[in-house]
Amino acid sequence: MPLNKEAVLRYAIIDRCLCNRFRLYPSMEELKRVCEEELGKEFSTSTIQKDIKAMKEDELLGYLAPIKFSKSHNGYYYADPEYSIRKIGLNDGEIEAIEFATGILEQFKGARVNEAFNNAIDKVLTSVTVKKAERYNGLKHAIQMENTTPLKGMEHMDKLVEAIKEKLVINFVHYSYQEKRWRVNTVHPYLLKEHRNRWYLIGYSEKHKETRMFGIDRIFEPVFTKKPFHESKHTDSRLEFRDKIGINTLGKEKREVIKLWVSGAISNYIKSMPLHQSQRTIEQFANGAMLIALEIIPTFELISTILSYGKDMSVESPNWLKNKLIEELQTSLGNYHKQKNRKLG
Amino acid sequence: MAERLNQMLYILPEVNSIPNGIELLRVHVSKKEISIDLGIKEQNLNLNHIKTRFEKAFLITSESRKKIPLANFKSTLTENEDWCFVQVTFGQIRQPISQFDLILREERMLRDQNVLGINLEKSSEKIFF
Repeated sequence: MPLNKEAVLRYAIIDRCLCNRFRLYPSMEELKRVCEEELGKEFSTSTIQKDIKAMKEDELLGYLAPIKFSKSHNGYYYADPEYSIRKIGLNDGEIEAIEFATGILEQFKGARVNEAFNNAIDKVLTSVTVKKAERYNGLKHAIQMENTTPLKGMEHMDKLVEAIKEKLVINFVHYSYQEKRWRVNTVHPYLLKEHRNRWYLIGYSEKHKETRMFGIDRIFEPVFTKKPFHESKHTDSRLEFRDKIGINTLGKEKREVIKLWVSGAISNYIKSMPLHQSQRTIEQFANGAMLIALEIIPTFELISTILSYGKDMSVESPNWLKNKLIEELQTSLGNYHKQKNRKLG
Repeated sequence: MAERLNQMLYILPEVNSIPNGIELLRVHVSKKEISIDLGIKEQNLNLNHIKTRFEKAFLITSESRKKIPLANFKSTLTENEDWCFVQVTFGQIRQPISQFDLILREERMLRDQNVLGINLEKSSEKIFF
């Protein structure tokens, strides 16, 4: 049953009074007065007495606060000076529920987000340390999650987020894998995008005079500049990625209908976890195979996805994409032949 | 002029000479400090080797001809270990600088390939930050 919100607020106020080292042993009258001042209404002495009793004894509430009354000081105090209900915060059921989620939260810690988020997760993780060890050991055997290794460049995340939020033009050094050289870039940042555990900064590049993407693992020493910000032509750069699988386009920026044949061996998997939100089934065959259509902007990642399903997926149309896949497979086959010849040679 | 120079970022300033494998990228001039960003590309780079190369680096400015010692050295090596980002910072800049020589290694080993003669006035772009 949910707790009475006003009562919870009074417990928090009483707790704060009992923890106040500069005003020890608050009397009943003082506790009542502070509650009234902070909540803007009158309370009876018996309400505050009941609150103290609940904080001390109510097992459902779970505080079991060591509140004592000092006759010599005519006031209340915690027998354990380190105690505070804020240190408990969660009941057994809540702890159990959070324990389950901590594994997931830990996956996001460190590598994937910014410092403030890490601190927040640390606080949650610390809150569930009570009784955690024995229970978590049990959970460890039941859940296995994908590990993410810490990425380079994540230390710039806060700065890049600030630049996007405050519309600040940034200048940084970037290493281009394609050009195999260093570049100094002045970028008007629009968006940070994660794709397969890698983060990219998307923004208008002054050097390229167009919107570009920069892997943040290759961004060095970003500096805010005082240049005026170049607004994106697009109202929301997130929309640019809505129509894509992945991020790297094949030079075509228009959406196309891509028809794919899917074998009976994997059709149920593809139905239960669609390749893209635009996926629809065009035809279902008696042997379990099916034809699906996606309405998307073709990307390198789309090609990789199709190739990853091997013999169980192929392109029906458009022809240019079908030919590209055939070319990729022939090159791959050629590489195996070369390998065979190298061994024979 | 001094005030302006304190807040400048010079992109690809003109260099008179540059050692092999080193690429000059940017020069930051902030309050009494000058930082030089370099890209280094070599086969089998070794951070200790790079550190040795830079640990006795110093600047000589055209204006004062005084030797300014290295204040801070930062380097990041990639997974492939064939390229590295280096930022060297020099302090005690007491007057605006327009030209300087970055000398790597000790003076007695001074050779042309260990000197970057940098001209900020001929920088490809100057940005306030």
